[in-house]
Amino acid sequence: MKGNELTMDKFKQVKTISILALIVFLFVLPGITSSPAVMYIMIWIFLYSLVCGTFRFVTMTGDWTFAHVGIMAVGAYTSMLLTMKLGWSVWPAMVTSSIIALAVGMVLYSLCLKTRAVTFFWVTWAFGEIIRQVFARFKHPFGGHIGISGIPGPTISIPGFIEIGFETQMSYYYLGLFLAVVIFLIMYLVERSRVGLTLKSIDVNWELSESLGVNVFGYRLLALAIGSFFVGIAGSFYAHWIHFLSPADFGIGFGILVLLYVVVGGHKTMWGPIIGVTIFIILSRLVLSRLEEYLMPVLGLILMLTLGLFREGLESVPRRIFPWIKATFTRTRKEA
Amino acid sequence: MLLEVKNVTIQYGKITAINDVSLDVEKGEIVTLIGGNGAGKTTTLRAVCGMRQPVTGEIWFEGQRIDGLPVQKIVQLGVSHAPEGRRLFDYMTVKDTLLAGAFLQKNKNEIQRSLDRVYGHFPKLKERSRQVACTLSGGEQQMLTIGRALMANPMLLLLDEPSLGLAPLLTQEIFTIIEDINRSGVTIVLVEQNSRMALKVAHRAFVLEVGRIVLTGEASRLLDDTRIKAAYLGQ
Amino acid sequence: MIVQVLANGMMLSLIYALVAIGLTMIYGVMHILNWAHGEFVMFGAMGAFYLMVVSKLNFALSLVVATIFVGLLGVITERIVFKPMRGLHLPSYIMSIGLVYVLQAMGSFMFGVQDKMIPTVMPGVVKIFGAILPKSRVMLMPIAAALTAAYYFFLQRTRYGRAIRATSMDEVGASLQGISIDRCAAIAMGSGSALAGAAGVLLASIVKINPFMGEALIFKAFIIVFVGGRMSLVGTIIAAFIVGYTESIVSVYWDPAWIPMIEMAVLAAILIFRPGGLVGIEVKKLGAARE
Repeated sequence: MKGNELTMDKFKQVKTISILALIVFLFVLPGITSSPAVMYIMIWIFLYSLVCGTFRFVTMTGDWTFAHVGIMAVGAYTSMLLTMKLGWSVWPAMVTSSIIALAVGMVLYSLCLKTRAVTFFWVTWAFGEIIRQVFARFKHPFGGHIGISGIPGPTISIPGFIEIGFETQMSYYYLGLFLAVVIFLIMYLVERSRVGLTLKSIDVNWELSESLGVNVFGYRLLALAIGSFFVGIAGSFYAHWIHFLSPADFGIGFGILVLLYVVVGGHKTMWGPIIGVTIFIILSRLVLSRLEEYLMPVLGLILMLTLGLFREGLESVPRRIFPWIKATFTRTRKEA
Repeated sequence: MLLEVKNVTIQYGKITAINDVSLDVEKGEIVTLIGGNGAGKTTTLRAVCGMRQPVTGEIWFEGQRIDGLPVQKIVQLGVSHAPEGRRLFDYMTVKDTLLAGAFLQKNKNEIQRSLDRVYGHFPKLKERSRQVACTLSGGEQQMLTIGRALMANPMLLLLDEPSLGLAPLLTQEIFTIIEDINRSGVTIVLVEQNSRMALKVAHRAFVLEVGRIVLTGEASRLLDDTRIKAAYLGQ
Repeated sequence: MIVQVLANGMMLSLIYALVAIGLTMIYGVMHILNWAHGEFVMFGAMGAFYLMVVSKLNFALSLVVATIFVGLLGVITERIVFKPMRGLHLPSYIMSIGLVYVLQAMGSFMFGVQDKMIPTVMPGVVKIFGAILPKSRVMLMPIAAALTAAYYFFLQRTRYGRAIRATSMDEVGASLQGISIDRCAAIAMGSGSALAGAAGVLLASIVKINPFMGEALIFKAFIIVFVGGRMSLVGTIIAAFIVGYTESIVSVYWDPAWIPMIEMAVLAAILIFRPGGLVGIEVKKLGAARE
């Protein structure tokens, strides 16, 4: 037993160290290569990780919301309106639009929480689509089908102190990295807390939780609130990075991609979505960039194969391999 | 020997539901399994019809080993199960449900014969043949469950708690019909909470407690047994 | 004008019904919504094109062959993709999503991405109550109606029809009668897909088709299945008519661009207030676990 404990602790140490190493690496990456192509891919990874990670956070209660992308759109469009029509600076716009995304989410989800599982999925899809249709129908002020361009980028300007314009991708890279790390950290802390345990208990057996006094409705709403707020931030970031918004960006295609990445990467831990996102984005941007038409079918095929082989997603692979590695090591030690 | 259960143990995960249970059923008789809640009676029936696989032990039916076979195969061999919880087809009519019960029978005349036979046992079902299953009363639903099982023309009929939730008058009716069914040539294994009624209709009985057979014998003798009287007959 | 709307509505509703009832039965037996159902419609349409243009078969024969072909495709899909995932709801859903893209790619590869049109089956028009309707559209309706009726008959009166209905209502109860879930899944998938294929052939006779036509269609089909009540065939047909007529009326008298929003609002309302669908059947046995 003692041997086992040692290896468990060691595993955790290795894990923490590698996470820190990863963050450091990401921090210095632009120093190694400031190629805009790499920056671009990495920012997409940060963005998608945020969307998928927040989505996955909500799934802890067992709710799979297909309105998530719609809420992101609310964040994006609100931020656009605040900066373009009201002349706000990006930072307060980002915060405010996230709060508004949160509010919209609250209203929407309160209606939906009567349902569960499959029904919940489809009713949130319906609402998400309604939101998107609103943005698509009204050319004024949302830009309608063709979208709206010229959305300003952020600036950090304290005269005399700092003046950072966001002209290069590198600035967006650091902003994206910062947002991703902070938001994932917060989600991680919540997940590990009692609140997180309660959330997960709802997925396992909600009737039991309810009979033990847990306010299931409240907790589900809480998870959705947190998810909505953070995806609102992601939406705002998206708007100010791409400088262009159109309802098609938040359509079913995007929603399905989010779903796929989370399922393939795995949704038991917060690493699942990150793994799924990273693999697929690198795959689609690098490998298949020249073969556009084959992108979705290949993704579809990989999706089916991965699910066929790893039911719990790619994140389960290290967990599965670890006992095997441990066995090999203990064997070698014995032989020695 | 129509049915032989030999030293069967069944586990749900780490929990042993029945332990080293053996029983035998002769052709033409009614054998009843009685015992308290959670004693393992339903599990035993599930083992026989194939819904659960034994961890150890064997089950033989008509000289053939049936443990490990899929449910559908066992039904084909002549074992029919009217399960606990009824498991009816909610939105199908009585007649359709019975016809579905006769799935394994392809001959239209045979099916009609089975249908007539079931209507003969349960005239109430004939009255309500066009009614949808979920609108029937509790008693009628129970009748439908048994009737459906009979449509497969079984040699062995497994009945799980047919009197559950029924008023005394209805229970009496059901048990009379069970005797009728037996007289028409069907061997019956009856699992029951209502020990008195069960022992009255059965030929032989097995008593289960906490997953084990603790007593067995002729039903009429067990009715008079002091232990049974104290434990199960409220005396 | 009104006759035009009525006729278009009828035609649209019947085609939607064909697509949706297959989906409903598949959902009933296998408990998953097959996202790739729209692609089966597409294969039916493409098959019709191929048979009529390349093999020079007549329409009736093409309809029969394409329908059977897509039915077989459905059975194969069930065996390879869905059977290994049986019982796992989420993975099955995702598999069917992946299947959408794979089938679309197959379609593009086999038939090319260009829009296609099959030669008009019945050229000319018909005058009914003052409205001028193309014969090919009118001809569609009795065919669709006949197929729907035939399927209904299959489900209500035949041994296997009863078996798959029984399986969709209580799997355990059905297995106790000797019914094999394996076979029921294959039959449900085969017959449902065949209907989708037939719908595709009929669509091909009136609109342009391409490998991506399934996408728009499938979401309408989902809406119809939910509004109609996931278990009920009659409910699905009624819902198909509601959707079909709403679309045709709104397109003529208002603005077709509002249709998606109206449909979403109706779907949301049904799912929240009447999750069993219009026909008021409470999905009481389907607990959260089953979903």
